[in-house]
Amino acid sequence: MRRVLLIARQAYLHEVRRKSFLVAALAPIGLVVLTALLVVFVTQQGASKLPLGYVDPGGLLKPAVLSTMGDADELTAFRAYESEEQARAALEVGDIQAYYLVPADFGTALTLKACFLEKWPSDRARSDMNRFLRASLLADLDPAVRQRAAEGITLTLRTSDGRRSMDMSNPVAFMLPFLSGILFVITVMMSAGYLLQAVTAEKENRTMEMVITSVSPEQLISGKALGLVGVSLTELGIWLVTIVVGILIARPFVAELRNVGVPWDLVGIAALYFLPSFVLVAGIMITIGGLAPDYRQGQQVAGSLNLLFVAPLLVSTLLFINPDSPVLVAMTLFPTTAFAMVTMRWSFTVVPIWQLVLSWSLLVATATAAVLFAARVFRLGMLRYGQPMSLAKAVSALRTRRPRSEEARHA
Amino acid sequence: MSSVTVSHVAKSFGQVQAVRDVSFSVEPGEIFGLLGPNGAGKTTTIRMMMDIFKPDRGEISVLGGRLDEPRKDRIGYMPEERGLYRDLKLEPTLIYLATLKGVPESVARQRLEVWLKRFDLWDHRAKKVEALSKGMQQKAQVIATLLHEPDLIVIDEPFSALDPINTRLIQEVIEEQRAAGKAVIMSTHVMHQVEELCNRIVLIDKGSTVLYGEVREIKRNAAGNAVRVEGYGELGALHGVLDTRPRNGGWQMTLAPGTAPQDVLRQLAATDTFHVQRFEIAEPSLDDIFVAVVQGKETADA
Repeated sequence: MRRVLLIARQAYLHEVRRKSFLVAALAPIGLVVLTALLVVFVTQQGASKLPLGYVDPGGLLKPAVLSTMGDADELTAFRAYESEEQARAALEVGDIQAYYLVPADFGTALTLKACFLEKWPSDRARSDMNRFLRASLLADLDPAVRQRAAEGITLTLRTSDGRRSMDMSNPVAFMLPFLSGILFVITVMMSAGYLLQAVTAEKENRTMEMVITSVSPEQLISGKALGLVGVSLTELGIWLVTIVVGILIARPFVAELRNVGVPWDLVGIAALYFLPSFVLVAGIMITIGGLAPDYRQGQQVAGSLNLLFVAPLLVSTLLFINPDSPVLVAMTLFPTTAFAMVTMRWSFTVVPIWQLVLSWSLLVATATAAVLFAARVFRLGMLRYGQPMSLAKAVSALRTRRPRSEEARHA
Repeated sequence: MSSVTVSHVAKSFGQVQAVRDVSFSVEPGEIFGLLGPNGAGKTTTIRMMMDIFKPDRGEISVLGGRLDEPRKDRIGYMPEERGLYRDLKLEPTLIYLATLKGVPESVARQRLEVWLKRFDLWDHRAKKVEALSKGMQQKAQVIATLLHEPDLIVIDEPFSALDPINTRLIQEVIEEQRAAGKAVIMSTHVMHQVEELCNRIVLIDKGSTVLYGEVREIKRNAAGNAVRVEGYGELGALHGVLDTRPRNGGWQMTLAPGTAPQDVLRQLAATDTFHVQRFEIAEPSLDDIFVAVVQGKETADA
C-alpha cells in the first residue's frame, strides 16, 4: 500500500504543478470574480440613491407604512408631491430619480405611471415602490392578514412518499441539482483524461519496464488512479469553494440566492455514484492506454467513447418535457450514462428507488468488470512500445487464463 | 548462494519459440555477460528473470528464491527499452524511483548528491529530463539503477549513447559494484567491453545456450595452434610453421601439429635478422568466437 500511495502522491503532485491544471482550476474562479465585479459595477453604476417622488391625488399611498417596511437606511426615500408639475420640476433639478403617478382609479386601472428623464428608476427603487404600494393597500387589514397577504404564496411541491420537496419560487435552488450533475460528470471525465495521459506517458517515456520491477502493474495503475482522482477532486473542490464564496458574496444583491441551501440528498447520490463511475471510466481509459501506442492515438479513441458518458447532456431538453421518458429511464440504467442522468433528473422528477438500486448495481458490476479487463489488457500492452494492439486481440487474451501469447511481440 | 539461477527455461509467444532451453547461474561478486545475436532470446530471458514474463517451463531463482517484493527492492534493472519521465525534473525523478525501491527519501537525497556530482550532473539536477543530452540521460539511468544499492544489477547495453570518457566512468562503476560483492548481469553487443569486464558469459542463440563459462577458458578453448608475433627485421622460414600471415601490424603463424609455441620462440630468439617485440599465443577475440559459434550453428542447422 505504501508504494501505491507513493505513486499516487507522485501522480498528484505532477498533475497539480502543471500549468494546464492551474489554468483549468483557476479559470472558473477568474470568470466568477470577473462576472461578480461586472455585476457589482453595473449595479452600482445604475443604482441611483436619489429619492422617488410620487403624485397621489387619491391618497392611496400611506407614508406611515414605510416604517413597517424594514431598515430605513436600505429603503428608498419617498417624497410626495401635490401635482405632477411639482414632481417634474423636482425631477428636472435632480432632487429625485423618478416619480410615479398614482391614478385616483387605481383600484380598477391597477396601473402606475413612472416618469423619468434618461435612466429607469433602479431595480431597488422599483421594488421598494411595489412594496410601498402593496403595504399601503393592505394597511387597513388585520396585521396578521396583512403580513400573510404581503408575503404572497410559496408553492412547495412534495412527493407523495415524502422523499422530495421543491420550492418552486426559487429557480436557483431548483436548478442546482441539474448544474451539480453536470459538474460531477465533468469531474469524472477530467479524471479519466488525466489517467489516459498518465498511462500512455509511461509507455511513451519507456519507464514502464523499469517501474514494474519495483511495483506490480496493478499497483502502478491503482496508484495513478488514486492520485488522479485526487487531482479531479481538488479541482472540483476549488470550483465548489468558488461557487459557495460567489453565492455568499452575491446573496445581498440577488434575492434568489438567499434561500439556497446544500442539496444533501443530491450530495449523497453523487457520493454513491462518483466512485463506481470513476472506476468505470478509469477501466476504459486504462484499456485504451494499454491498446494505444501513444497519448495522441489514445485520445482519438477516448474522444469517441466520451460520447457514452456525455450523452445525457445531449438529450437534456427532454428533461424539461418529460423527465420520466423511457429514453431517460434507459439512460439512468445504462452504466456510462447513469451518473449524469440520475443527477440531472434529480431537478425535474423523483427517480424511483428501483431505478436507483438497479442503476447503481449495474454500474458497480460494469465498473468491476471494466477494471478487471483493463488490468489484463494493460499487462498485455504495457511493453508494446509504439505498437498498437487490436481490441480483438485484447478480447481473445481475456479468454486465456494467463495472457502469455501476447505478453510481448517485441520480446 | 547464487544470485541468479536459470535452469532450462523455455518461453514461447504463440507460434514463436523465443527461448528453448537456457541455463546459467550468476554468482555474487562477478560481472556476467549475457550475449547473443538480435532476436536470440536475451531480452525474454531477462524479462523472465524479472518476473515480467512467466516461463513456460524451467526454474528461475533470483537472490535465493521467487522474485517477491523484498527481493525486487534488491534488484537494479536497466532495460533495453528505457527512459525517464521526460517532463519531470531530474532530481525528483531519481528520488521517486529510489523511494519505489523502499529507500527513505532523505537517504535517497543524500546518496543522490554523491552520484550526481560524480556523474557531473549536479548542476543539471533541476532541469527537466527532456532538456538533458542523451549521454546525460543514460548516466541518469545508471544512477536510477544503482541508487537503492541493489545486490543484483541487470543492465542492458549500458554504454549506448556514451562518449569514451563516460564509457570509462560507467566501466569503473560497474567494476566497483563487482568489487563490492554485487552480481552484475550485463547484456551487450560490444564484445571488447565484455572481454574487459566480464568474468563469465553465456551465449544464447535461437533461444538456446550455445556457450557458457569463464571468458578466459572460452578463449583458451577456442584458440587454435597459432602464435602472434610483433617485431622488426626479416622474418625467415621457421621450422614447424605452416603459414605466416600479416595481421594488425604483426604476423599470425599457424603451427604444424606437434610444434609448441616455445619451439617457434626459440627459433626467433636465435635469429639475428629479426628482433621480437611481442610474442603471444594467438587467442581469438570474443568477437571472433561469437561470429564463429553463431555462424557455425547456422551452418549446422542448415
